[in-house]
Amino acid sequence: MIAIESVSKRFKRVEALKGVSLDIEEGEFFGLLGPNGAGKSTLMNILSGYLEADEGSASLDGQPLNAANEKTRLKMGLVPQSISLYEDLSALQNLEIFGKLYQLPSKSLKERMEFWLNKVQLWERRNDKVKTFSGGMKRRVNLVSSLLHEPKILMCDEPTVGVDPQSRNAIFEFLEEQNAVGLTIIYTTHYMEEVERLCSRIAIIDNGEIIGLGTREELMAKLPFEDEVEFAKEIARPSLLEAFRALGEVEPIKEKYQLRVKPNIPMSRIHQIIEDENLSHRQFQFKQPTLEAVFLSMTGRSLRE
Amino acid sequence: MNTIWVLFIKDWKLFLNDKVAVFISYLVPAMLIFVMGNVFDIGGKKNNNVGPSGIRIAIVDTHQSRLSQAIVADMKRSESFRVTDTYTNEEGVELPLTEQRARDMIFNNRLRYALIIDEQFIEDGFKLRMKWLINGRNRIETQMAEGLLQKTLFTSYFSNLTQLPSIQEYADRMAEGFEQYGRPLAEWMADQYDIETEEIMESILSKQWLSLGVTEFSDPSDAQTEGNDGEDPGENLGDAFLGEMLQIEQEQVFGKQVKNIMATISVAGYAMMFMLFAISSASANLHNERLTGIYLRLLSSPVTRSDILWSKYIYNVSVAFSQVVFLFLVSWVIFRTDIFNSFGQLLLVCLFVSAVVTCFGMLLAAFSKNFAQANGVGTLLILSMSAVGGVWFPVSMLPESVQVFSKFTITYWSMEAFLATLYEGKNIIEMLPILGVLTAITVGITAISMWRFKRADLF
Repeated sequence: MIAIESVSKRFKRVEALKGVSLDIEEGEFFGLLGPNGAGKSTLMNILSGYLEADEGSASLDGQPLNAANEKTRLKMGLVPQSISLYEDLSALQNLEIFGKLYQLPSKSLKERMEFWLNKVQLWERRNDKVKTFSGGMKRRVNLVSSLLHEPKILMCDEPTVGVDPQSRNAIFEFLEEQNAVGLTIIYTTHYMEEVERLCSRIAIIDNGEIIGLGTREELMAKLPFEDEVEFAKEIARPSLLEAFRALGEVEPIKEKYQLRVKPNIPMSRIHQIIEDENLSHRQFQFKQPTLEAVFLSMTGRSLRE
Repeated sequence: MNTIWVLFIKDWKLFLNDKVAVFISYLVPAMLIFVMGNVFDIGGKKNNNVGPSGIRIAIVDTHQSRLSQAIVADMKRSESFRVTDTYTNEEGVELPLTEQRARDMIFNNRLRYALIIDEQFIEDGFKLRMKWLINGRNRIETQMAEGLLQKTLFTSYFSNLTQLPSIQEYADRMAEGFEQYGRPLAEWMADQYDIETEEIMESILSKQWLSLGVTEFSDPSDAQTEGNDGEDPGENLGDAFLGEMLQIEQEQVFGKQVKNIMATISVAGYAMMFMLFAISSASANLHNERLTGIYLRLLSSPVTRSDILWSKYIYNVSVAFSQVVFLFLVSWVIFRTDIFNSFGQLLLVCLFVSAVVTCFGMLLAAFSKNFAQANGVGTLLILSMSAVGGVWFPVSMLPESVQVFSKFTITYWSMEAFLATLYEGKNIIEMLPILGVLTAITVGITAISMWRFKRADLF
């Protein structure tokens, strides 16, 4: 559906994107995961037509995705990272403006405004100025403003920034619902929990380059270990550490040690070592690795550095 | 106390870090003081003469007597006026100005004042009669010009008194009489003090003129009174005497008899200035909208940068237009200014002025990096243009070197357009040159702004 080929973008001395290539299929919930400054928003801005790539191209169903192509822009919806609303106008007035910019007929526009505001439980507040809304409510209006024209693809650029957990969850449910009825969603974030929950396929981006692409399982398979075990430094006897080193990498992390278990090592061996050392299992935390670990193994840095 | 001190220092740090705030607080007032100081010559460069310099006037002297020529020469020497008394015809020949030609020059706004010295210049042997033709569109300027004219004429009159035929005749008779009666005295004195007789004769003769009473009127300001209340008959008599000796008949040759021209001009000027402030701020808001991400949303929809700019342009023109029309209507309600004599034409002028003001605002936004910068630079430019463009006081009050810059300001041409309609009663055809200039400025500035905005990194 969307084909991105060797897209590069430079801002003065900063190379924001370096030859990025991606394919996004119809109906996917595609995640773009990376730390701040990785190039996520730049890529979104190019796909939305706000910026032009210096090199490479992006297309939707074979049609170029750029500022000049109005047809493709009508099929796209962008939920910007910032609250891009006229705060001195009401929710309804904002939707009316954006709907008219998408050339929606009046009757159809009215129906859609009512539908979407009801969907996000803001119909009762439709005549209130946006500046009186909470952060979560503003995010919801920000979201539905991009859905009025019923795009085929929705691009969400970190849509939950500054939102409380409850509102965040509501946004997730909303997006999952829309994806379930066929909306293709491209979702950028630097929170791996979000992509892990929402996305069927994930691209990891860092310093303007795609460093990993695939489903969660495919990305996790790239890790040199399968499980993680954490334990406090106080119980880390030399014998314990030596025994664990035979099963994988042992690294100190702040006040703890972390064992990254090599693939195909059964957990029973770890439990056996714990018993041999006369320690309690409660003193050990067993974890599944996350995309954070994938990023760390690929870049040597954590997502939030 | 320490808390207050810490907070006090914090506020100074914030202020000093805000370059725009520092610029507006210190540099803008300093520059305005410079301009105003030059207007009123506060630095005293012109030998403490405070006032305008170089008011252009034409002098037509068909009398061509020694006195009239002396007065014309004194007027030319005066720093207060720039005198024109000739013109160049189509063959390139320089000829003396005529009254009709002077009237034409006033009509064409090439100058606003003319002094006509014609055959009725001298009356009763010593009274002077002149005509003072004006285009009195600016009463302050007209009053200043008249004041300077009177001062110059009075001074010139008394220093050239001997050029009056009647005085010369009197002098000749005095000389004859003195020759008859004074020479014997002079000869005796010469003999007693071993001085030349002619020397004594010359000395006594010159002092004789002073005793005619010229010193009584040498400072005409002494003759000014506070009213004919009879308390100081000497001064009243002097004032009345001066008024009799020099009569200047004023004639407004051009411009409508507008009921309240000063209110009209003030409204036009201040409307200009506030339009500029309002539109500059509205245009600078482009930056704020960019920061909120609105443009990202708009430009991801079927909206182009050109669409955004043109919509802003039309919006700002409509705001400026509604503002200036509203202010004129308010002036009509409060001051009964004559705005309905040619209301349709006034609306057209308002539209042209609104367009040029909007272009200025867009140019400001195009070359500024953020709202604060646009506002700061805008404030400086608007106040400067208002000062030199004739909004606050006549352009002729400014130094010559500054007057050159007036014609490069949109305030100057906008004020000319308003006055051409409201005061000079020009029709559309006659206003084409001014409207043409406004159009050229609008088109030029718009082209530059559009070129600048097309660059993607601006928004």
